[in-house]
Amino acid sequence: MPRKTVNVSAFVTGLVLVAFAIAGSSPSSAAAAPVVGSPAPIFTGTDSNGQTHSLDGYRGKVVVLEWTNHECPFVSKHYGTDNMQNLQRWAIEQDVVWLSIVSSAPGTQGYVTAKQANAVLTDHNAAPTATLLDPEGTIGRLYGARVTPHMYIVGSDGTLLYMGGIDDKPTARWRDVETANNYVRAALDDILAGGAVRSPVTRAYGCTVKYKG
Amino acid sequence: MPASRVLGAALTSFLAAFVSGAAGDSWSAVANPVSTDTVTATLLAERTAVVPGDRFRLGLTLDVRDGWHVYWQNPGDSGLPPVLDWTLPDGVTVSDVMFPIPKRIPYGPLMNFGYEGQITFPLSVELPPSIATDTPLRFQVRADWLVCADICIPESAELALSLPVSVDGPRNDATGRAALDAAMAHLPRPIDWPAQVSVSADWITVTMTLPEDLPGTLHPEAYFPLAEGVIENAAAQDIAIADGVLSIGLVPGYQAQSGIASLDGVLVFETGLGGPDGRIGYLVRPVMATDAAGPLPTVSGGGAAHPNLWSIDSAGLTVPMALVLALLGGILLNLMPCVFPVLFLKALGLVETAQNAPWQVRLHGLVFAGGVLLSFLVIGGAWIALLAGGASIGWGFQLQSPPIVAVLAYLFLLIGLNLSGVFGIGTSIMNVGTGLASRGGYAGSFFTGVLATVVATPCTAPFMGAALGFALTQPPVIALVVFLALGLGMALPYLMLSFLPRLLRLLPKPGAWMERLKQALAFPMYATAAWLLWVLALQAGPDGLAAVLAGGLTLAFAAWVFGLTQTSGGIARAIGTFAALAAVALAAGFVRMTALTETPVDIPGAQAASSRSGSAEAIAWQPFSTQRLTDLTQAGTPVFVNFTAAWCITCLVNERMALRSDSVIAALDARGVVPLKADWTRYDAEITEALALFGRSGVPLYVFYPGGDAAPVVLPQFLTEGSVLSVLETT
Repeated sequence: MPRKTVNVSAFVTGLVLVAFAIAGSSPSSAAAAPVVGSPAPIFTGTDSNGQTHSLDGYRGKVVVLEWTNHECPFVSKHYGTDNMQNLQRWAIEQDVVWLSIVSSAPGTQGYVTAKQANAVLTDHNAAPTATLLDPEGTIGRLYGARVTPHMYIVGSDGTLLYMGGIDDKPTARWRDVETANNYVRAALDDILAGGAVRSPVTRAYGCTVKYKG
Repeated sequence: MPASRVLGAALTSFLAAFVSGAAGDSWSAVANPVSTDTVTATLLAERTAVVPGDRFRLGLTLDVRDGWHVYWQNPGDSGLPPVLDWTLPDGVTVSDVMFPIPKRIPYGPLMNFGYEGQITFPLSVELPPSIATDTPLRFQVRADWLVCADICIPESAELALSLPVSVDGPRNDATGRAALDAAMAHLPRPIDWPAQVSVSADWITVTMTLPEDLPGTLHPEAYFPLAEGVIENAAAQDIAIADGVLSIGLVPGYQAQSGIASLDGVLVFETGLGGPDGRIGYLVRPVMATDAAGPLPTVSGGGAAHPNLWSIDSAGLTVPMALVLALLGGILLNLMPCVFPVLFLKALGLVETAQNAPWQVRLHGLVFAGGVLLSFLVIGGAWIALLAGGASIGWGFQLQSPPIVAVLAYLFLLIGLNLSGVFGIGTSIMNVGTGLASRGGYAGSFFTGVLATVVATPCTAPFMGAALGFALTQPPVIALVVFLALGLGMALPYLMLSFLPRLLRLLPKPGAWMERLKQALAFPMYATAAWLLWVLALQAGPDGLAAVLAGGLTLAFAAWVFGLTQTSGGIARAIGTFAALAAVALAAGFVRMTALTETPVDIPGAQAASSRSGSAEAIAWQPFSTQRLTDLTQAGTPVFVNFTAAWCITCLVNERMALRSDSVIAALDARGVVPLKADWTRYDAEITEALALFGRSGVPLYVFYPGGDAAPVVLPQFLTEGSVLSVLETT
């Protein structure tokens, strides 16, 4: 007789674990940063053209992740001055993969449908490899992305090599772009030269990522 | 998607682009004050006339529209502090702005540090002795600030004011001076309390010895590091005071990866006395401990006689005491109505296996204990991981989630049906495989341990609250050890039975009565399921409840079909199994629906549900908020706060047994006590934070604020009419 209870228990324990998994997203688990020098969190996302991109699929290439929100004044600073687009074009010439990621939830600033995302790309004359749509904030939370722009670089072996800001001038003033030290460019230079990134963790500045709930 | 909101956001960002674009150019209309859509900026001085060599204060006031905020020097997860760029007469120097104490401003999973409403940043000015007296001094500043609500707008203003240089003494400006005095009162105060910090990979502990003359009414609120990224800003902070030592547990932030140089910061207390916005801050410069991996300075000085064991405050606990409490709490879990039937039946099982070799019986006991301990490790580990991830959650958090409540209700329903004899999974295998019995038996013992832990999760036993509250303030390893002690306590009675077979003889001989008893014990299971459904109704509303009831009905029907067919062979059995699997899938679908309908219908809430069902004389609870509590206590009104949740059985028992008595109601009325109910049935960050202030991670908690300057009194976790009355009458 006790054994009956026992077998039921094995079965329902599984059921409970399923429920814990379903409920895993609540209450809000906040964004914890990944660790530079450790494997970057693996993700799969869909871009504005319906294509699927997985980080794993880019093994062998350096990947830049750029959190963006086209309505954020800090993002505007870097697109209005062509700073971001120039960096994207240069990176892609170096065979780097560049994924822009939008983690704004529906109804919040920066949220875009696939069509709107493509319109923004055209409008900005931007040149990332793809723009991933992350309205649930899954990828954002995985990386602990806090602001837009928030930048990450994953090495060709899947190791996280850089996380932080786009540059060292935490302002929304467009003219500061000229005098800023672009951390991402510097980190890519280090990586492409086969060396260690000299400033692997920097301060990210910008608008808060507009996560869901 | 609310179109109006998107339109509003687009419009605002257009304005933002306009403002920043305009400000980015050489736009130099100077005025004072300057107003934008969201902020009015004013440059103010404490003088109307200055003298050569004068030292005085200037200030920048930002009056921020409701719902928006500006930032502290460390803005938290995003944001920027205001930046001032001065144009000054030759020889005049100004200090950096000084930052008043900030507030924690949450946004989604992120946390900012800043200010809402009107805020003044003071700074000091020094004039050279040789300054010319013929022309007024012009102080011109370009102020850049970022103001945010859901969205952020970088704004700026060119502000200026002129002050004449007088030869016959300085003249003060009463308004400016009052504003600056008030601002200075908001600045963090430097202290010389000894403070240390130790940093490990996943935990930062700051400890300091509080001075003896610190007012007892102070309640620590939060720690704000001066440097960005040194802590995980949104993570709950575990602050506890014991024997004059205050300890702050913090989760390291991203900067920890490149090394934390300093944890200097501002420790903010609620004064409990009023004063400028009821808060006071101290500038703490803790010394880095050299042995970072060494044992953390835990609160010492146990042994102090506690008048009432039930009301042990976790803040005063030492590790051994916490372990003893956890062990006791675990033992008492065995008697909780949700756990008792499972374990009692397991114990009766021992009677049946008594003919086995003693070593086999012992091994069963150990394997069972292993199942319990492992489950506690998993649950404790998940809790700690969520806390480390920044979630501000307390014990019982699992019951704040409707899907988990729903699945637990199903679980109790199925165990009940199994006990009622409707079905038995594995019966046929048992009959066939005698050879497997001993092996399957050990797996069985293990899973009974797991099951016992799972069914125990809705229960809180006495002593557990203090032990778990203590675990919260400890590094993960010690917290896990507390969980293990809890598990050990729960496994202990069964372990003793299996190791001391003589005890078994005290149990009656097996017989038909066991089957009857088993059937009778199904009813506590049904009762627990019914209670969980009530909790679910409060969380997910009638729709969620309907979905789960449908799921339960399906499961019960499938269990019956399964039971009918399981002893037959062939197609009938296949049909039964298929029905069972289909029902489980369907039930899981219904659970998923509760997750979707999680935004609850605004039914009157647990508070109304529990107080309405009784007599008309029930206490007229008012909803709790920190603001309301502060307002009331500052006005000198006595307040009784009841931290409760619909899923907390202890809370419901207390409400029924003690809080609803006529004499308690009369005593509350007589003293003019305002009763506040902090309902934690659903997740509530404010209440979680308030609980943490008392070193608790869960409910129940009862606190009486006598009003005025008197320190709050924490009541025992198990209330009696007498204990409530004595607190109400003597303090």
